[in-house]
Amino acid sequence: MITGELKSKIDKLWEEFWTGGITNPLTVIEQITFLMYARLLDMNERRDEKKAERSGQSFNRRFGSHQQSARWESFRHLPAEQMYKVVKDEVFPHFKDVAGEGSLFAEFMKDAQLMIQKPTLLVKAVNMLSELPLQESDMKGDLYEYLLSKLTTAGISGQFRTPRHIIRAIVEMLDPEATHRIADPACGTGGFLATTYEYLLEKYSSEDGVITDTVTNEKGEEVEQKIYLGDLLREHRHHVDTDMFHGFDFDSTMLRIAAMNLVMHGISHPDIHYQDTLSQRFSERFPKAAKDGFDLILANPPFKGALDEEDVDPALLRIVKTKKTELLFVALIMRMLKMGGRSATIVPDGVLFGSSRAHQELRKHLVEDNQLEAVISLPSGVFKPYAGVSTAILIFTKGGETDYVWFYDVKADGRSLDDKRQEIEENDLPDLIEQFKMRDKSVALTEANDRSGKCFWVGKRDIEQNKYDLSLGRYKEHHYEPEEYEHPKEILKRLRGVEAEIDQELKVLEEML
Amino acid sequence: MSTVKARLGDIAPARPLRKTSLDPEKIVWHLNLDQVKAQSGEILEKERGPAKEAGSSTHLFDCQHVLYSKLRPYLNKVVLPDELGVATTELVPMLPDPERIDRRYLAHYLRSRRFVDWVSQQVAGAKMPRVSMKVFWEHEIPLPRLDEQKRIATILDKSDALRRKRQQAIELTDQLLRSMFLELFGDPVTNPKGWPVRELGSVTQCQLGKMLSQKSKSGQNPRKYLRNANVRWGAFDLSEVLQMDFSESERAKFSLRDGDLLVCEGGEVGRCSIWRNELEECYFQKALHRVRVQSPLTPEYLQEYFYWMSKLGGFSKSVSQVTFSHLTSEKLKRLPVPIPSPGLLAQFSEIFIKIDSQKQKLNKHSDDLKYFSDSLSSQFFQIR
Repeated sequence: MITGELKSKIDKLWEEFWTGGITNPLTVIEQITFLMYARLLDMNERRDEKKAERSGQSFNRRFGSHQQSARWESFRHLPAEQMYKVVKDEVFPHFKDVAGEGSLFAEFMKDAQLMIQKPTLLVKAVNMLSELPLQESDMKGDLYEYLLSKLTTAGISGQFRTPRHIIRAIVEMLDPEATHRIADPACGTGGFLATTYEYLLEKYSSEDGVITDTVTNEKGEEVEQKIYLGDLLREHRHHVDTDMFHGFDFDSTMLRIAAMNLVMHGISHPDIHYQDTLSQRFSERFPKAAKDGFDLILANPPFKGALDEEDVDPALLRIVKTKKTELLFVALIMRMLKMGGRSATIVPDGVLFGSSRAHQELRKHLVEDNQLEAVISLPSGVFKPYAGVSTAILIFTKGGETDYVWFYDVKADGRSLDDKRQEIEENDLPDLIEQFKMRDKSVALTEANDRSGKCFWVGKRDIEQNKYDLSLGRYKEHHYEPEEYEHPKEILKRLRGVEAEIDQELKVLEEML
Repeated sequence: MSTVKARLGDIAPARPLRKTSLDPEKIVWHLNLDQVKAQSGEILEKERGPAKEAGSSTHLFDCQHVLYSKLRPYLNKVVLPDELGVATTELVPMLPDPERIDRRYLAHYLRSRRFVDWVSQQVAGAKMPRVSMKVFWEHEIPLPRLDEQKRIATILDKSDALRRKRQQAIELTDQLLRSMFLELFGDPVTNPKGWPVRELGSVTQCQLGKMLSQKSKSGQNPRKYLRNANVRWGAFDLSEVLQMDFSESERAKFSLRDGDLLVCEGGEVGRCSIWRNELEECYFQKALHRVRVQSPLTPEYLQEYFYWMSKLGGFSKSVSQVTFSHLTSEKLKRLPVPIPSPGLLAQFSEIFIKIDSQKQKLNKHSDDLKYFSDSLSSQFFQIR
């Protein structure tokens, strides 16, 4: 968690961009990302220089001898006009040279363009960024996430940032392991992957690996926070850094942000690629990812967006013949999973009950040839202010056959379901996680399986008979409690009583006037 | 007779209690505007909590005050608190001078129709109109002798009490009807008397109304039609009846006749009322179903049947849960309806009509009482 003071610093930085004329939140984040990157490059260079001084070993320099002026520390004190010139003509072009190193992350930064027009705005931004504690590894991720939380408009292709508390609930339910290979085929800002990493740090921290600290939040209250060092993750470090997290997206701005997000969280070489995962090129370029590649896939794929059918991978069309991206993504995820691999995917409600042939086929495949574990209905409004769609989380395991599906009805997620999304008390998510972990299939056929409750089991046969309809409303039962009335004679007696009183009162009034 | 007058600002200025005198841990009444019923100033619910939890824009009052809502004055929210509490600053804490003005007299005055009409003109702000307090405090209230004020207040209290009793009686007639229904037929969902059950579509004619479109507003053959907003429970609100075009064939298809039941398709699903030719020639829109009853079923029985289904949860299985609830015509036609014996149905209709006519009378009386109370207050408070 980051402190209230830090949040207000970021808020201020945001405002500076806004008043400086850059109002597209994506552009703001991208520009800040580039500047952060410039600072990180210099920080890492200095770290390596110090190391080299001590050990006497040389290292691959990021800045050549003629490029020293492009280092953060050397330009950050320059006067506005001069700084602007250096950043524009040296710092940004320098990103291209660094990309030659071959790191994927550096690769994303090479096309960076300075969109800031006013030298004064640049100076303000550079000063503010210099104050951010980018050297503190446990805070950087939160800091960047906070920045991302300001993304309140959807991207061009309708992508939006999945709320982090929803992601967190999903990750907790699926409980990833340090040995897993994890993917998100439409990763956006990388929320699922970053949150998974945070979760792993917590899960793989010994008692000594938890530091308790007190910080001041934005309300000025002192709150306790825990920092998880993830010390038990050390033996998996190489896997975590290089082969655990895989993300794909076809929006290069989003990708840059995702890559930065993961690096800021502490994953040194996240495997993030510019790729439309629905196209045939995906199987060609990343055969290992496109089929049987992952233990875990967490995704909130785009629900809308036009598609060229010719462009769609025929292998997916064989599973479900459709142009609808939300259906294709479910098919894609099933394909990308290893046998026995699991997924939690957010889908619009239409996927659950749509009556087209494609819808029914996909659901049949999901139920008959895979283990559909759970359907978690989310209230419409969890994606506000981006979209008001009603959605659900599908949790399934590749292969096998479904016997019973667990349904849960989330009515509240701890935020108001309007555009403001203010925190409120009602929150089903903690209960959801607990119930999911405790769910017990053996009650499916007993009285204890109360279909009018918050969660319940539905057998495959029942689902099959309903054309594989997976909407919760189809199976949820409502308790009917008949109203009781007094006997008519009793009511009549009371009515007469009231009438008598009225009569009496009228008389009294008459006398008073 | 000339009456003494006094400025509101002099005789009952805003004077909250001092908060510093209060123990912050003390549990007190927390009042906000939502908890005050419009037009009567009744308190709908009382919340309590430690005094320290009150926000900064609140003030302290007790049973000496009259709380006057300056927000949307036409809602006529004047509260006579009966204990210590904190309230939002929208409720002005007027402290009447007990030597010169009776607290209840002041409240009745502020609630009187003529004062409300006047003060509703003295507002600023379009979205959240507030009384401009400067004008309010300048307003002069007639001040008879204190004992006369008390007499007026007592009479008006009595007249208010009468109206509440009348309302209570009206509610009892509704209960009587429901109870009669239950007595004769049993709960239509659980059907304890074991009546044969049929689908609604097989024992009535169901017809969904005409779809409203741009085309139908061209002004050719405009006719009145009913929409969702016109249908209340067991009554029609005909204060605003719209028109659209109905061709000859549509007029045949969407006509209304005495005894047709009009049922809401969306919104409060199943809300319905029996058409008694309240308007001469009238049709209906797609938001409504027309259920035309065939013997031995009666519209009275069906209206109450829908009340049970809709109000008491009998529908939940038939209404689609996706997006918002609708009772499509397919679902309407498949509703299971217990069919009681013709004798009982006729008996119920007879009782229904009696109770209904009684209710009409009571409603009329209620209106009379309102008129009576307005006339009393206008007589007491000569406002120019």
